[in-house]
Amino acid sequence: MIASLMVAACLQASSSDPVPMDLGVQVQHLAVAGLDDSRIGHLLSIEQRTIKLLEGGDVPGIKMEGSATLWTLADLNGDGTDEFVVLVDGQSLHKLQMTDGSLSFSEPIASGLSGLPPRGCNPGDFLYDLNGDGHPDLSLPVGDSIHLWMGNGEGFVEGPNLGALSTLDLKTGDGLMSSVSRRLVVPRLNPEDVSGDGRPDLVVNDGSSVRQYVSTAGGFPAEPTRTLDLTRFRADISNLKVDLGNLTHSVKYLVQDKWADLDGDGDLDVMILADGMVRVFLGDADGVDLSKGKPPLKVRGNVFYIYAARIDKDDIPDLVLVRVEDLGVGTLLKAALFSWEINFDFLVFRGRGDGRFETRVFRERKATLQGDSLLSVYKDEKDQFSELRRKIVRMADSDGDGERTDLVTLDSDGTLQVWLDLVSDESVLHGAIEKFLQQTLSGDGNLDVDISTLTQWTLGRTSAMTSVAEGIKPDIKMKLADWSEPHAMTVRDFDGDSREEILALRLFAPEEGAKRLVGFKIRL
Amino acid sequence: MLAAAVFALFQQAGHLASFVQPSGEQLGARTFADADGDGDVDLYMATLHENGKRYIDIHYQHQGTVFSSVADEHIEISPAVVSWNVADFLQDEGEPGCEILMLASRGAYVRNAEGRPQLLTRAVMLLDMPSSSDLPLWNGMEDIDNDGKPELALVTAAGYLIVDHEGEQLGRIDLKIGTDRPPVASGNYLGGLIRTTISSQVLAGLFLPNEDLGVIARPPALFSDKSLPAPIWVDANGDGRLDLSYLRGADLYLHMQDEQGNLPEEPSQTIELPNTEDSDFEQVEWVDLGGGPAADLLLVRSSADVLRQTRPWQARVFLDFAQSEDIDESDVFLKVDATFLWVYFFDLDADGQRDICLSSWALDLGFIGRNAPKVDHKVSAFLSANDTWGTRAAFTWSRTFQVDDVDQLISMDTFVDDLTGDGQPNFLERSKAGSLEIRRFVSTGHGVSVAEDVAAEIPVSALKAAVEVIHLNDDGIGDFIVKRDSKLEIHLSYRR
Repeated sequence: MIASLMVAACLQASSSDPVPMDLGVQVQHLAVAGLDDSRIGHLLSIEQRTIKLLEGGDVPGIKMEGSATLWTLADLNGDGTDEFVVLVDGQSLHKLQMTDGSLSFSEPIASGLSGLPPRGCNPGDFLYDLNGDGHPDLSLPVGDSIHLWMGNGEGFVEGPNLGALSTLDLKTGDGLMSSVSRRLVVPRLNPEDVSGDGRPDLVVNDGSSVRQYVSTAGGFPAEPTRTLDLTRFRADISNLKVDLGNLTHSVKYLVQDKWADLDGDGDLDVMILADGMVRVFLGDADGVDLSKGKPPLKVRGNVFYIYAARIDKDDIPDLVLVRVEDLGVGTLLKAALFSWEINFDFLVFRGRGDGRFETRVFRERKATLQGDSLLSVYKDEKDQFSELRRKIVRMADSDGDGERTDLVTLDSDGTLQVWLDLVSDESVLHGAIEKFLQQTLSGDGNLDVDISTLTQWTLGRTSAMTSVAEGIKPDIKMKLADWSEPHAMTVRDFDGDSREEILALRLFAPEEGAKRLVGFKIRL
Repeated sequence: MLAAAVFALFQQAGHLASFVQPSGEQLGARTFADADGDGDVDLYMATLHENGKRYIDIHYQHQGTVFSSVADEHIEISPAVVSWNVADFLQDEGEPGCEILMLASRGAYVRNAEGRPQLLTRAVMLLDMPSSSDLPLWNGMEDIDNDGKPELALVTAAGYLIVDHEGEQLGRIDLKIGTDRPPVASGNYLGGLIRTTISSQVLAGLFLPNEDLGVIARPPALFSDKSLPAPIWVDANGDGRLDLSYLRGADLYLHMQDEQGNLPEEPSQTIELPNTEDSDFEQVEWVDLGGGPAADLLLVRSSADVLRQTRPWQARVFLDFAQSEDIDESDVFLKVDATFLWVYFFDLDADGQRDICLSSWALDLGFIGRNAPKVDHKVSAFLSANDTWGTRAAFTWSRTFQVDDVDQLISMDTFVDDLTGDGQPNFLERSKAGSLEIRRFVSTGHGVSVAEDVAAEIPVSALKAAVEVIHLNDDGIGDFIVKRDSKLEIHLSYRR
């Protein structure tokens, strides 16, 4: 009760100073959701199946029903506030609501869905807008497949079945050291405009084929508009030989696809690296068409990475290739245990603007990475990864215009930094890679790239985002008192004024008594 | 009808090859059982077809000499089936041969002669979702009371449920389900050969929705992980009935079967295995080495320091493990410096008691890695004498491979059952020419050693292959299976 009152008092505070909070308990999950017609976000705790209103005084908690239950937050009515939504047994969707001072679930807002989610009660991200109409769409897990149901503001209509996209690992155990386990990882779908008509399309890649669902005014088609069979590009596997003296030779058997508008017509084209060649296929209003291929560019050596980036002065994307020297297992073992030196080549082929690239290398730079035992580097990098996982990075909308353009970071020592209006959207991630390549490939001579830079470049979505803020003074910087990890942070509009606030919590373990969540709420 | 060929000329035994043509993509799950009731075990194999459906193909064995090259039965499996196995469940109902056990998310079913699923028992299973591209074999099935009929340890959402061949409950063991948080990042390289993950922080999933940008990619939309230790049947107390065991961390739990065939809800014994922070368990296995009828336990640990070419390994065996009063002292204690070690038990000197056989691999990169890398494969054995085992190896045999010269990846055991027909175990080693050499163990008067002559060779001309020695017919000589690329060969033995 005391904790609830403290939470309530904090959530109503309006000072820009950090306002201390003490939830009084440690809970499994927290969520901020609207429960009525007001736009106020209520802080809810979710423990197993039970939802409780943290600032709700004596309002009784409510249990989520079903044996295979999923829950999420989604702005169903488009008022800017998320609702708490439950999918019961893959069959029906219900909204959490407050009526007459108590929590209840609505009548089904969708039913007869025939989903097959995992057993238990799991949080997920299965209701978000895919077709850009502003209404959340339902990505319904059916085993390892995903079946779309498109939201239209009044309900959901059946959309395409995207097939098996999830990773489902089953282990049946065969010895004392083994386990019986089921692990399901459902990817988040990332729509993008492939056809150039301004509508988001869906491109799903299951490793052997790429299925394009190009949307029309009527929505996504039930069947893929076009399918790219990636296996046709793969080098003939029957010729594959085990060559431990040159493991990197096997990169020719990998198939890599990169999408970009190469001919400037507004739709996306695709570059496919496979079998020692880069092939380009142009897109049109129906997506990429394999019959619209350009003469392939033959590449020598162990090319393992391709990217389209503007390297020269013009605005046409150029082709950047990265290749690595022949590496045998012996070299790698030595590198793992002793010291190592690996040579890379960065090659740039200028784009012609019609989907083709010049066949002559425009720029070539060499990079030699060297260092001590890779395993010890890995251990050091693990510390960096640890730092990475301890640092929390969020986007925020502090001005209430509906766009999250502010960057908020919270370090494990409690340093909170905010850069207002810094990034337009996540496309900055592409920009960061391009910027890295532009900087890396400018000038002459060999490249000065260290393993840390390369690791951050190849692995770092988060670091790419934070790199945008490098050299820029934060608009807000403060140190949260008595901070330690583990910690967590969310950015939400708690008070219904459209402007988001920060809620940062850490786990506090007193010498006596139970662990509890404490922290601060900060108005931007 | 059959594609068969005489193969490998052994002195006392020969092997006839059956080239099995899978009707679709092999899913890696296969077992042998008598499908048609003729007394021979037949091959059951899970396959995936281009139509996206999963099948179990049955290839009959004929007169103990060959298997059908194409499937004799081609059984479509319902999309709801998660895993499977085969045993004779319906012998009381007069159905010949074995039946397929099918585990779904809410129950276990047996496929009867009419092809219909017959409910065995209802249970909410831990493996609650079928895969569209996998059909794993269910382990945890044994005849635990010697009545000739199978019993099952089902892994449910609440723990273990033990049922007999008619679905009658014999025990229920409630366990806390293990769960995992989604990792911060995970990578999958070289077609799944190398998987890396960076684990997430304790409070990583506190706030929903997850607004993290992700590291390599956005966080998954849904992550759900559930696990339990595998239930392993063993006669732990030597009473002739199988008991249920499982390992959680360093604690080994035992539930002893009583005379009525029931298993207690609470562990009969919990034993903490010798464990230190700076070592990892590498091999923990129930074995039969000596002592009384109770099972013995093999425990192999290695140093957790991986920043070395070789590291210390310890192999211990505890005879009649569950009956030992003091597990600080083991009956066998061997130390080896190696990159990798595997332990086998075979009676090499024909004295009626199993000996300890070691197969170790040591990486040699030369002084600070300046020489061409090589791997030394060292094989040794420690012979038994009245439930004690010598600490000095009876023989040591080794072969060195230049790493850069390796052009095949073959998975196989070093010590295998008799393949040559003399009743003695054999030694299997890669030749430098790319085939597998089969050698005998020979008596040296006061011990054994590996014969200099190669008894026979198995040509394995494949990029990647797995060789498994198994008994499939009843002549007492080992048969072997070669899986290379997408093909499967079964070599059945015969006496000359």
